[in-house]
Formats: sequence, structure tokens, C-alpha cells
Amino acid sequence: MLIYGQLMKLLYNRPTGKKIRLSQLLSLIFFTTLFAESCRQKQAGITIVWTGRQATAISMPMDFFDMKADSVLPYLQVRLHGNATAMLGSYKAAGDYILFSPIIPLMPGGSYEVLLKNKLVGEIKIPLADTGNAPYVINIFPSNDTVPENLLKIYLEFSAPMQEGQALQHVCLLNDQNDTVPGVFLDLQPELWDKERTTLTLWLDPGRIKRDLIPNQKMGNPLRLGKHYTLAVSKQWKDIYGMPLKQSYTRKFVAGARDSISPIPGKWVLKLAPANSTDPLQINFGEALDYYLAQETIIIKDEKGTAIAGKIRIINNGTGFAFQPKKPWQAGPYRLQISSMLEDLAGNNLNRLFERDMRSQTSGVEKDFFEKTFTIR
Amino acid sequence: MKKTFLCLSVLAAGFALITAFKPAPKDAGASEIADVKSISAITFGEDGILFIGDSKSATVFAVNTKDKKKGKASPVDIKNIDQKIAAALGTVVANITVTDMAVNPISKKLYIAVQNSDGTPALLRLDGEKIEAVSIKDLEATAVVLNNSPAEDAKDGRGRSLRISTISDLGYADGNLLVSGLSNHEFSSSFKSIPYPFTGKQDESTLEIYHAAHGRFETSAPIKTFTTATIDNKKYLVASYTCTPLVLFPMDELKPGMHVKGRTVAEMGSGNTPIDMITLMKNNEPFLVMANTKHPVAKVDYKNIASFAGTLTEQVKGTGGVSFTATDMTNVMQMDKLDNAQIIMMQKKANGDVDLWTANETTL
Repeated sequence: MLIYGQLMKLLYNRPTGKKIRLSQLLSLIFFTTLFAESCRQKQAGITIVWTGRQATAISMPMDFFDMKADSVLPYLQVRLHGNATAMLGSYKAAGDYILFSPIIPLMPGGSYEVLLKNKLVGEIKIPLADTGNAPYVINIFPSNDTVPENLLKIYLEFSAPMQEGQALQHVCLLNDQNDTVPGVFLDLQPELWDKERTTLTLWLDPGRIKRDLIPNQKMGNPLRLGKHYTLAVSKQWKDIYGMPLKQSYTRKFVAGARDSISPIPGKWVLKLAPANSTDPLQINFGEALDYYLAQETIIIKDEKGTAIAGKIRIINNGTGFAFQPKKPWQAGPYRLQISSMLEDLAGNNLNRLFERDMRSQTSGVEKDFFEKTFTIR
Repeated sequence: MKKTFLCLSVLAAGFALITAFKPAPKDAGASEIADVKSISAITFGEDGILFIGDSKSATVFAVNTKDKKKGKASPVDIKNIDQKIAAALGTVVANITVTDMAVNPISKKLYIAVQNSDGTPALLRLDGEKIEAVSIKDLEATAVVLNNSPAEDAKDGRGRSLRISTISDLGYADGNLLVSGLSNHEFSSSFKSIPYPFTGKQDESTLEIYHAAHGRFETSAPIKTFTTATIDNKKYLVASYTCTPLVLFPMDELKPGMHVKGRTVAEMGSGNTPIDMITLMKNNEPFLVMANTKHPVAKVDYKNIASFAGTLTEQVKGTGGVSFTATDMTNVMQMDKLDNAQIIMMQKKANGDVDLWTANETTL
């Protein structure tokens, strides 16, 4: 601080218009070098605190300030380079260090300035994420080449948690002329992500699918029978660590006939495994069902009604279900218990159609669960 | 030596950060640290209680803000509020989303829920033009866990939870917390009325709501936003679906497990999602203000709703049902009631700026 003070004195007390003597110039160079070195050392003292792959705090050693913590804390500020606003967060003295914890993690690529009594005392840059960890699209569901023209949902599964609130900037549907089809997806905020933020649910605009609603009358169904489409995911989409997707992704499909029939478990075809084996039980739904709901809604119970443990896989582009028990099958009766919330690709569940024509259909008795029995031999 | 100290400090800091994240509360009712993982919606109850809808943990937290000093409903006017919020958080505008905002009816201070692009939530409060952080974990809190679906524990092959119920809106009326939810998997709506203080018994009502359109097609219809209103001395839930129709439900018909059909009173137009709905008063008469993603803010006179006898039966061009007034306010991103005659709005202006300002019954 003393050196800094002398330097400032030298710089600011120089009589105007007088030539600088060589000795003064040398002194200036000497002090400037000292000052720069002093700053460099101080900046080396600021470190980033990482929680996993996120920079969640800045640590500053007490000797960085040459003052006691009580004298530093009330006058300390951290701000993003280029901003005049001090960041919100907590400043705490922890032993020989002062820790600044912002409310949200520090931004990858961001430069942060540390100020004491409004004077810049150091700066630290948060490195960009490692390019080797670029996220990618694992799956797009439904995975069928042909989907019903009244398709309701599309799921995008990523390898890493993604940035939220930007889906419609990065996903679009192209027609067979490679033109973007406007207004296909519902602009829903907050977006529908799973807990891990790796799977996004996109709804095709239900107002356009529901026949006779004004959006349907005005803009028509989002998909048209027989037309070819490409779902495109832009590589600009970043994960929560600021890393863009490894590449762009596309999925081609064609719009097939409208699905206006509820899934009927009674019509499912079961391929049973032999007793004393752990071979999978396979179910052929006869149509593609919702990839996630099919995994959540079907439970296999033994004779006593106890759900048996095992691994579930959705197979054959969503048209099949395979269940491999943890313990071998026992000879005897079993049953499938299926929650009525299971839906097909058009949002028809076991109890009701996505849209019921009240002139021609009557609503039946609704049940929470449907059952189908089978016997292992 | 310095390096050792540094390592120890970093380890200590890391440990402190890890221990700050305690497991999600299991028992509703008990006062505890609110471990909020996301903020989808916020609303105020009584006595400075702020309800925070956390979709990620399928929980609503009731936190005591202790912000109970009576304040004046002074209009606010802050230009570039998005830039100011981003600067206060040490990031850039592109990285933040304002997920909801709510005015404390006592102090009249505005609370703003923000989500960083990495998912970290932040709760901010305006004191005049100054942005403050609200440290939720330092406030007394109770919680209610919402998911009670039979499939809630379903996991995929990697052991990940599959289903999540996103909280689309929160409201508070007559001692009850009202919660509407959207599922990320099934196309359905849940609407719960939960007595507050939370009893821990999960005795909320669950409604299955259907949408009857033009007397012909009946569909399940997830609620996006709602408000409550009294029309002809009868209390109603006024809800809007993801597909925009405006629907009324008599509050006294909302009973646990009921299959309730809403009375569709208006269609507000195509390609649009409702954002917020508020009931204001003008000359002692209530009217509804509705903000939308695509359309301008709309005003609907509750008297017209009351006099609209049936549900929509005729096909109409453009918009239909109860007549409403489209204001000249477009791109309103968030709004909440400052008092019976004023609304605070966060609006994207034509030049791209996002401003916070106050509209009143004259400008509306």
C-alpha cells in the first residue's frame, strides 16, 4: 500500500508542463513494475471454490488485504466485469480467508472484480467448461418412424443437465421442404424437465390438437396426415456448465393416422418366461405407448399381491415392454397391474380418450387400475 | 504452508456448502430449513407468509418472511430490470429467467423469483429500487410434499425418478393454499386445496378437471394459471388452461376426488398460453386481468361472466364467449396485484428492454 501511495503521489503531484527527468522516469518504471508485480501476487491469492463442476465461491486470503477481517468485510464488493453493481451474496471470514458466496454459481467465462472501498484490488476469471465434456442427445421419443397425426408429446433425453427456459429457441420442426413449421410446440414456462434436468417434455400445442377449439380451427392440427417432418435440435443448446451440445441432432418421422382409441390391456400379447428362470416377460402392446408412462405404470405382482422386483425395458420402438425379475419366476399365477394413467402417443389413457366426442361416445366407469393375469409354468 | 491453509480453507468451504444442502423435508408441518431446489411459483398468504412452489422437490414451502411492516402501495418504475437483476447476481440477462413475482400485501414489497440457467433458484426483494437477496434457508419454514401419485417412486433403468409434477400456479384464499400442477408425463391436471397451516395429513383435495368445448369434445385440460373471485356472492376459481380457454369452477364444488367439469366462458385466441391472472376492482366492481404469451393483456368484466349463462356451445371465429377488452399492453412477462387498483408488471418493450412498472385502473 505504501508503494502504491508513493506511486500515486509521484503520478499525481508532478508539476504540469515540466519535463520528467531520467531519474524520475526510471523511478516511475521501477514503481510501476513493483506495483504490477504486487497486483499479480495479490491476484494469485484469489481462488475459485468449486462444487463439482460449478464455481460456487471466491476465496481471498486475509493477507491479500493487509487488514483485519472486520475492517475488510463491510467494504468488500465483488462484481461482474463491466458492471457497476455489487453482486448479492455472503462475505464470511473463515480462518485466514474471506469467502464470497454468490447467490448463483459464477458464470463460466465470466471475469469477476474484487473491490475494497470501491477500489479494484483483484480480478479472477472463471474458466470455460472442458470441451471434452460436451453434452449430447441420448434419445428422442417417440422413436417410431411413423407417429399419429395427433401426437401429443416429444421427449428429449440429454447426457447432462441442460439450461432451462430456452427449449423453443433450440428445437424446431421442419417440413419436407426444410421450412420451419410455426407454432407447433406449446410455449410453456416453466418447462417440463425431470428432476435431473436431463429429460425435457415438449407438448405439441394441445389447443391445435383439440378439434373445434379456435387454435385448431384457425391453424389446424400441428401435424398433417402423410407429411414428412424432421425434428431438429440445435447444437447451440448449452448444458448447465455452459458447454454446447457436441452436435446438432435430427429425427425424421411421418405423420400417420389419427389415434382415437384408448390402449386396451386385454389385447396385449404376453410372451411368458419359464418357471425358475430370470428370462424376461415380454408384452407386445400392439402400438407404441408413451415411453416413460409405460415404465411407470405397469407393476407385476405375485400370487400374494406383492410387487416383484426387476428391471424394466421399453423395446421395439415403444411397442413392447420387457421385465426381467431379480429372482427367478415361480410356477403359478401372476398379474399385471396397470395404472389407468398410461397413455399412447396421442394422450389417450386407459380410462379416457384425449378428446371424447360426447355425441357418439359415452364415458364408461373409470378405474384407477386395470389388471391382466398370467400363469408361469 | 500457505498452500496447506488454502487447501484446508477450500475444503472447509466446500464442506460448509455441502452441509448447507440438507435432505428435503419429509414431514409437513414442522418448522425446518427450507431446502428450495427450484421456484416455479410464489404467492403470499397472511402475516408475511410466502408460499414457494418448488417443482423439483414437488414441495410447497411456507416461509415466514417477517416482512410485516405496513407499507404504501407506491408505483414502481424501474427500467431494464432484467439487466439490474442479472448484474446483482453476477451474470448476464441471457442466463436468467424470472419465474414469478408476488407483492407482499402488507409491506407492498415486490418479491421476484429468478432461475439461473443452471437451475439455481434465487429469491429477490425490491426495497424501493434496491434489489435485495432473500435468504430462504435463514427463514422459518414449513412444507408440504405434493406428489402422492401411485407412480411417484417409479424409476428408470438408471435409478432416476421418472415423474415430476410441475407447479404451474399457486394461490391463497380463505385459509387454503391452492396449487395447480402439470405433469411432465401424463396429460392431466391436478388442483389441490391445502389448508394452511399445514396439518401434515395431506388432506388436500385433488381434482380431475375436464374441458368441455362447444358441447361436443371433452378433454382433459391442465391448468396453467388461476385466480379466485366472487361473482354474485358466490366464490369461483377462475382458471385458464394451457390451451387458453377461460373456465369457471364454483369453489364449493371442488371436493376431494371429484371429477369436475369447468364452465368454459371464453376462448382467448390461438397460439397463446396464459401467464398470470389477477382480480382488480373498479368502482367496487371486480374485473379480471389476464397476461398472455402471445396476446395483449386482456380485461374481462366479471359482470359479463356472471351474465354468461351457459358454457360455450357455438363455434366462433377468433375469440368467443364472454366479451373481453384487449389492452395495448403486449409482452407482459409477469404481473401481480399491488392493491385493488394497481398492478406491477414486468414487460418487454418494443425496443427489447424489460421494464418494471405499475399500471392502474386508468391505464388498464
